[in-house]
Amino acid sequence: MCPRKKNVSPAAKKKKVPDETSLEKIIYLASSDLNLLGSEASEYLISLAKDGSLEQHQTKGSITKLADELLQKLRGRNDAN
Amino acid sequence: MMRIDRIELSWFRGAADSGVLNTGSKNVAVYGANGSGKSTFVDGIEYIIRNGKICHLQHEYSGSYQEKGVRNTHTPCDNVSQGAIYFDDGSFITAKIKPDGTFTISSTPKVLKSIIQSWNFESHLLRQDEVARFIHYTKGEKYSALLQLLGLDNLEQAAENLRQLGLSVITQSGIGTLRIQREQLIKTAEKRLTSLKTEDVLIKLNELAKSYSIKETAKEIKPLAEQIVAKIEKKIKTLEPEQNRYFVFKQILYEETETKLESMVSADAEAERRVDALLDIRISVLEPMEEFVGIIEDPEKEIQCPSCGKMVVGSELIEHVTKELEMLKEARAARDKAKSRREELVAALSSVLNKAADPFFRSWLESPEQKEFSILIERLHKFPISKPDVRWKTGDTDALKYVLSKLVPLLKEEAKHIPPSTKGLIDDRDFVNICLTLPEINNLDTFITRVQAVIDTLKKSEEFVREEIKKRAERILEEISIDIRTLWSKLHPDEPIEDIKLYAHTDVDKAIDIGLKFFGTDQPSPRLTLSEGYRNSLGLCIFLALARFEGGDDPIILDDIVSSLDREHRGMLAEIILQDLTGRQVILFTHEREWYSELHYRFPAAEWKFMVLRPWENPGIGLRWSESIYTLDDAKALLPGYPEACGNRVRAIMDTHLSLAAEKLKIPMQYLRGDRNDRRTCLDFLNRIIGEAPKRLKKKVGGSWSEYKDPISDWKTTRDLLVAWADRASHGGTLTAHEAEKLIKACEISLGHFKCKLCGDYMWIADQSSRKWVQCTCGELQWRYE
Repeated sequence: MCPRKKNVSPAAKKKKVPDETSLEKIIYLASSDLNLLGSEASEYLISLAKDGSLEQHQTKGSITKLADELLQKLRGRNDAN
Repeated sequence: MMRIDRIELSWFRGAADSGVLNTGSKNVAVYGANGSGKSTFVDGIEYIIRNGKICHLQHEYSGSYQEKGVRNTHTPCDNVSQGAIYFDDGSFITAKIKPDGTFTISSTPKVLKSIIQSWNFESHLLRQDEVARFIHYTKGEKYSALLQLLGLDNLEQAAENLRQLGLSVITQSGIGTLRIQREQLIKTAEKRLTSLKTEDVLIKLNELAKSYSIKETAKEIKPLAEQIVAKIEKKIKTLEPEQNRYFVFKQILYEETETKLESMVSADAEAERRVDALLDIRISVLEPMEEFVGIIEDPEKEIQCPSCGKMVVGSELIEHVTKELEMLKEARAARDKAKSRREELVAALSSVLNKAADPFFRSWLESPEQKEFSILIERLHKFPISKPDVRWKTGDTDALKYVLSKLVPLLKEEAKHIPPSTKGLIDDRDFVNICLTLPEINNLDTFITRVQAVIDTLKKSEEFVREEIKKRAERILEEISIDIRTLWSKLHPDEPIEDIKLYAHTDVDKAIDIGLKFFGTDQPSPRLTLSEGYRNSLGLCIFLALARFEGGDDPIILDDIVSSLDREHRGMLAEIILQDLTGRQVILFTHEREWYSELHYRFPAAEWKFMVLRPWENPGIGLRWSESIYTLDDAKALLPGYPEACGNRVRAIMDTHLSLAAEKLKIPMQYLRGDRNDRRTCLDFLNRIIGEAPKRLKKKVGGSWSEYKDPISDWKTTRDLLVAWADRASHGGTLTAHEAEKLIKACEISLGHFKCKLCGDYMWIADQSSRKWVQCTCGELQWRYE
């Protein structure tokens, strides 16, 4: 049989309209202030939106790992200074 | 199109060794009296979709894996219970359940399992007692139920991940501790520096540098300060032992051990007050609650407190847990502060002891005049400075207080005699050390600002995502609402319940509700004004609208959904199923004999299959299908012991069938007085059909229509048997089992005559709108009005 991905409602996909804001864009808009202070962290958050990590269920452990990487981006910049 | 070809069950719920629902990939209507096993098939489907769970079996007695409810009670020892769904393309999914309830669900191909288990209940399966389930959901439950269907579950997950990520960043960055550390450093620096601005400090440092013969003007604090410290250290080494001793005095005083001890004692007392009173009790209360609060979907609903068992409103519990957590966090901060103060004191004491180990100082200390001094310094070694994590005992703090009260005045007295040159060096070094903390303060400042920016961004992102969810939900809900209104107007035309709509709450997140106009008055919920029957009707419309919105091609399973609808509305529902669910396989189960018969007579045989379950006898026999598509098995079930009752049941069943047949054939019935119109029997209808048939019933023979007499003689036989054996008013004798069996057979033959042997459809299926005739789909049988 033809495999069909059912995790996302087909209707919701079908009925996607132009005024919908993508998660990537939402994060981009929300991180304007962060972008000035820590562009790497901001880029990292956008990449999480882009690769779908934010839309998937994450365990407590994986959230800890993501937070750790996010802080590394900030620390890296701090150390550089 | 994804169609179920058959469902096979073995020792599952009411099924014994084998129970098979063979749909032939068609739509199916299954009739069965109460308890005949219809829901066993629905349970089989639910068990597979919900990965080993059936909601209505969730009960303390059903066992950890619901094994006491899922498995047939008479399953032979060690037999595995099974359920399998086969699809029209050859794919299938099976569930095997061991005696202890552990199970495996697998599919061929593998991907089928995830597809089936992603079916949304709100648009796939509806049971009798759940027809109004969506209406009865709280607004939070409605939101959760619709999330996947609206395609917003991914965004909701993103919002939750962003929230969790924010909390994780707060914890992992230790931003609270960093802020305390920064404040402490600033407080100390402000004691010595008039301005903490880098440029002001640089001016002062550059001035000081000149006095140490550093000519170049520096632009950064750290390298300049380190350069000056090196010069000071060099000078210190050249000091006379006498002067060096003063240097040690001053350094020891600089540690401010008395102040630090006081800070530690006060922070310890504060922590003790907060922590001890709270920790044990609160943690025991909060531990079971923490996860629970996270899954409360509707704050307005009453729930059972997992700690004390009382019923409380969700919002109160959330508020309670939030407050408790805040108090715990304050207690934790107090504990951290106490620990930090202890570390500072321990560091200061270590530094004092380190400095006291200076050889010049030691030789001075060993002189007989300094015996008191020496004893006091020696006593400092006895305090628990090697274990900064361990809280000090009161005896230790009191003892240290005593030692310092003696030692510090002595030091101060000695320090008074310090030569000016040494004092200058000491002051300069203190000043430079303070200056050196400025880059650290700045680094902390920068890091804290960035961490706060990340936290703010994550919070803002979550808010934006929630706004987006709301925006999209509103648009999709409007689309669904239009469909609900269309279906409602078909089911309840010209009734003053209008403007039904699903709407997302503007002031509460994760909340959807149903609004409507009742006789022109806005109602925020159907529960306020609608009767149970109307709520069920509305629930049905919502289910069907959601199924249509999803637009997929998965089957829809309807289990006894018309119980609360009257005959008129059941007829309208049949029309909706026929017209509005095209493209979806419908598998419906009903115990309503009349409705089943109506569907049977209305729906085309090419698309619909009709099946009858025989009354269920015992767990060992399980599910059994009737060989007949009519519902006369309900009467047959009475045959062995109650042939008399069987006759009456036959007549009741025939009343339904023949009234429907007469209606479809538009046979005019004589008007009777009063309520006698509603009490016509099968004999009234059959007599009229027999009377009209010779001039109206035609059969195509070789391209032309001719009179069709065969059914008439069978109908007459049946009528005579019904008069003799199935009408209490007309016969006085007792009906035997043999006679009852003969009666049932005659009835089945008679009903079968309405059906075309070629196409399988009834003679009234086609050309319903024609004023001259109705006929079967292939045109073999025709009933003429003229």
